[in-house]
Order: sequence, then C-alpha cells, then structure tokens
Amino acid sequence: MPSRTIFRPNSWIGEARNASALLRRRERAVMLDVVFLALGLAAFALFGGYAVLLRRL
Amino acid sequence: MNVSGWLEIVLTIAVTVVLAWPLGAYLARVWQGERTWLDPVLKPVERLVYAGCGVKADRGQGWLSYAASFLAFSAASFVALYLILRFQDLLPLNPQGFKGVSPDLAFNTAVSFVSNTNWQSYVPEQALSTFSQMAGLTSHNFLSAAAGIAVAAAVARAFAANRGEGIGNFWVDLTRICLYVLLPFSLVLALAYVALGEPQTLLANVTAHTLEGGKQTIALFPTASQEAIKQLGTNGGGIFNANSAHPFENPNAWTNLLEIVSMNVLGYACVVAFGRVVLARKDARALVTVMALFVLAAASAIYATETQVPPAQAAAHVATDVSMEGKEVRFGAPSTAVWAAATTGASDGGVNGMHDSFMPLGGGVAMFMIQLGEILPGGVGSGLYGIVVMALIAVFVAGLMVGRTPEYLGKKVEAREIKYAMLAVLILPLAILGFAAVAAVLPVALQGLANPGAHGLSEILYAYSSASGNNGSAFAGLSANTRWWNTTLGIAMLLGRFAYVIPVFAIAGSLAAKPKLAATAGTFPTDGPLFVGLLVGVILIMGGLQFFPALALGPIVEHFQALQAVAAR
Repeated sequence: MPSRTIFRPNSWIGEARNASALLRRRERAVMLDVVFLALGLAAFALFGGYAVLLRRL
Repeated sequence: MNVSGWLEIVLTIAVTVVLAWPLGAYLARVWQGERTWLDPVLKPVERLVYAGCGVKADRGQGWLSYAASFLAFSAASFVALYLILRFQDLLPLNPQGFKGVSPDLAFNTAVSFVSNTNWQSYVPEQALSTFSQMAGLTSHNFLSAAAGIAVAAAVARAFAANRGEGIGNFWVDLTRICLYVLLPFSLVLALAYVALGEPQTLLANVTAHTLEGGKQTIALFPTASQEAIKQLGTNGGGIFNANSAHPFENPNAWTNLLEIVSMNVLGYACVVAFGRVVLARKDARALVTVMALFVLAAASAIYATETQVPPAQAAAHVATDVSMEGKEVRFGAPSTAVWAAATTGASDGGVNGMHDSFMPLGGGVAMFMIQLGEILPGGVGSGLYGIVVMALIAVFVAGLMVGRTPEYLGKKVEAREIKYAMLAVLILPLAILGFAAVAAVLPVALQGLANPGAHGLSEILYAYSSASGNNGSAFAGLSANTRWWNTTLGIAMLLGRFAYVIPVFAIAGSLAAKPKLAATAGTFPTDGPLFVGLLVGVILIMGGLQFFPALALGPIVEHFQALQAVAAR
C-alpha cells in the first residue's frame, strides 16, 4: 500500500505529525493552565466580592 | 475491647488537653505582641521581615481590610504553588526526574494546600519532586496554618475590643505565628522524629536487597520535617501515600503518640489563647470541654465498632477479637480509633489506618466528625472560629427560650451576627450534599468509584465532606485523580475554607465595634455545665439535621446490609 510507504513512522511526514501532535498537546495544556488558574483566581475575586457585599448589608 | 485500650484513648486525649494550656498561654502572648522567650533571637528577624515586605506593624486593619489581605495572600500562594507543581521538571531538586503534574491535579493540589486541607489525589512518592514537597507543600503547610491561626487571633481581638474598629494586622499575625509558634515547635518536633527513627534526607531512594535475593527501591524524602508541620498545623498531607501508616512517617508507638498529640494540641491551644485574650478563661475551658468530649465519644464509638467481630467472620466461625482490616497492626485498634477521631475532628486528615476499611458505623462516625464542622477541636485557628460561631448560635437559642437579647463574652449577639453565622454554617451542607448528589448520578464521577451501593455513596460523601471540611483524609476506594474529581473537590475546598471565613470576618468586625458589657444577673452563663450541654446539643442537632439523611443511605444502611447478608446465610 502506498500509504504505508508514505506514512512510515520514521519518515519526515510521520515526524511532522508527531511534532504537530506534541504541539497540540502543549497548546491544550496551556489552555487548561489558563482555565484552572482563572478558575482559582475568579474564586478568590468572588470571595472578595462576597466580603464587600456583607459589609454593605 | 480491653482496659488498656480504653486507658490509651483517655490518656492520649487527656495529655493533649493538658499540654494545650501552656501552649495556649504562649500563643496568647504571641497574638498580643507581648515579649516571649524567643524574642532575643526572633525579634530582629521579625523586624527584617516587616522591613523587607513593607509591613507597617503598628497599623491595624478593619475586618474588610484584614479579609482582603487574607484572600490576597491565599490567591498569591495558590498561583505560586500551581506553577511549582506544573513546572517541577524545570526546577531543581528533582532527583526522581518527575514530570510536571497535570493542570487539573495542580489546581486541586494548590487549592488543597492553600486551604489547609491537604487532600491528595496523587501518590506523593510517585508524582512530586523533593522541591515540590519542600518548597511547594511544606512551606504551604506553615503558611496556610498560620493564616488560619491569624483569623482566630482576629476573632479573639474582636471579642476583647470595646467599641474598637481594628482586629489586628494580618501580615503581622502571619509573620509572628510562623516565626514564634510554627517554626520553633516544628523544629523541635522534627528533631524528635529524627531521633525516633524517621528519615530526613535529600536522597531520592535507597535500594534494599531482600532475603529472596530481589531488589527493592524504597523512596526517601525529608520526612521528619514535613511530618512535624503536617501534624502541628493540622495539614495532614503525607509525604508517602500510606500517610502515617507508612513506617517512615510513623515508625513506632512514640511517634504515633506524638503525632496524635501534636495534631490536636494547637487546636485546643487556640481556644485557651482566646480565653486569655478575651479575659474569659472559664468560658474557654467550657469550649475545650465540649471539643474533648466529642473526640472522646467518637474515639470510643470507633473503638467499640472496630473491636466487634465482623459479621461475615462470625458467620464463617473465624475466631477473632477485633476487625483488623484497615488497622495499623503495629498499633492496634485503640490507637487507630483515637487517631481517627482526632484527625477527623481536627481537620488534619493524616491517617494511621484506612477509614474505608473500618466497620460501616466506625467509618460513619469518622465521617460525621468531619460533617460536624471541623470544630472538635478543629483545624488550627479554624477550630476556634468554628466553635465560636456555634457558641453564638447556642446563646441565640438560649436567648430565644428566655426572651432576652443574647450575649456572649460581653458582646450583644443580634440578628446581624446570627445571619452571618448561618451564612457560614450553611456552606458545609451546601458544598457536601450538593456536590455529592450530583456525583452520585453522573457517570463521569461514578467511573472513579471502586464500590457500588451504600459503600460507594459513603466514598462520595466522605470525599466531599473531607474536601469541604478542609480535612483532607481520604476514605479510599475512590480514584480521585480525574478531571471531574480534581475540579469539584478543589471548588469544595475553596468554599469550605473561604466562603466560611468571610462571614466569620464580618462577625468579628460587627462584634469589635460593639461595647463590651459587664455580666449581669440576667446574663446566661457560658462557662458552666449548662452551656456545655447546650453547645453539645446545638452541634449535634445542626449536624444531625443536615447530614443524618445522607448518612442513613451510606454507612447506616451498609451496617444493616452486613447484618442481613450474614443472617441470610
């Protein structure tokens, strides 16, 4: 099969695919970092807002 | 059950309570900025910290400013710890060559250690580098504990104030508690643990040659130093997955005793210090009595259940005096029982036995101790402000009965304080029952369960109780290192710590601004057995009403299922 020849694991296309997959994983990890850091900081901001709200009650 | 077992339980609790008195007296001096015997060494360091951080030590804060400082410090700690865990592969002291942990696990662990919970979804010796353990986790063991004790100091000042505005300075409290209390006592404890056989090394591991000729690689860490603050700061997060059932964390009966005492003593000491600052020593003694009674009752109940012959073994005619599953065989059932009661009452979370393997009612008692609010004696600092909230509710109930405006320690307790108190206490059932209800039906959550039925529900309920109560002990049987569990348990920990403490700050601010009243003939005495009984009743009724239905579906029904299964044979 031609495709087997073209997509050998050690071919340049295979390497490019691996690199692309690695990049996607890193992008996904960065995105998750942003999500979880934002979640934590948003929680602390909400607690601060809660304190201000109680002060005004 | 035997006499020596009962004696061990009673003496362990008695020793802890007795030691809390001198420690509490010392803590009160630290809170009030008075001279201590460590001043010659530590005063220059303290001044240096203030100068370096730009802290104006003589400037007091109102409750909102104090709360903002507490939140800002915790938020910065969260970010720092998150980054350490994510990038531990790029940081020094990683002889094990561990990669950075996943984002959801970093979130869970960072929240866990910032909120003084120390829930661990990972296997520490297989996931975290020495740097992460020391600079990340151990440092937060100090800082989160100090932050909790700082809040307790603020509450004490609020009761002591007479139409005052300020409740102290968070940065000063944080610095003084770390320098004068946690660091020196942890140092002494760590040296004691080293002398008693715990490792303290930066080596990654040691290779042992077994009798069969095999090789065994045994992980090593600076265990003794983490063990000291783990217990003293009611953190509970172990350096090994088996926690204090691991022989490096808890090598012998002396370390076992020292660890139980050190996990409760500072919690009681905070109450003693509160009594001294507020000039209400007898009232503080009443609070300590309530706390100790609960720990004694819980330890007794667990000891009783764990020394019954398990129904399945009885049916199979297996001769046994005790259910040893889940117990540390070196220490036996009494040590495990008193540890379980102390750790679940104290929001410590360290374990020397596996609560999941207790008899259903034994595990249920441990879970109920957490659900009572982690006030018995509770986490360092958080136990004090938690029991004060309960005391306010108790005097309010007493006031309703006799038709008088309630007072507590010279402060009128009015509708505003009770509203704040209710906002605080309702956080736990909201977080525990809310998350548990969702997790009990969501497939993504149920994938992590090892057991179906009532025991599975107990595992879910225990996990959210532990997280929301900032306890951190695990019931086991739950694979919690998934995105669902890491995220929701992290949110539960945040709610349990910070959504609880904000109304407490508001109570402190409100009380601080009120005049201090002298006791009159109509004042309800809060230093005698009547108040002790009332407070015990309020705590039990609140906890019972909130959690009994859920417990009935978990450990209680599991108990009857075990009996039924044996009867059906």
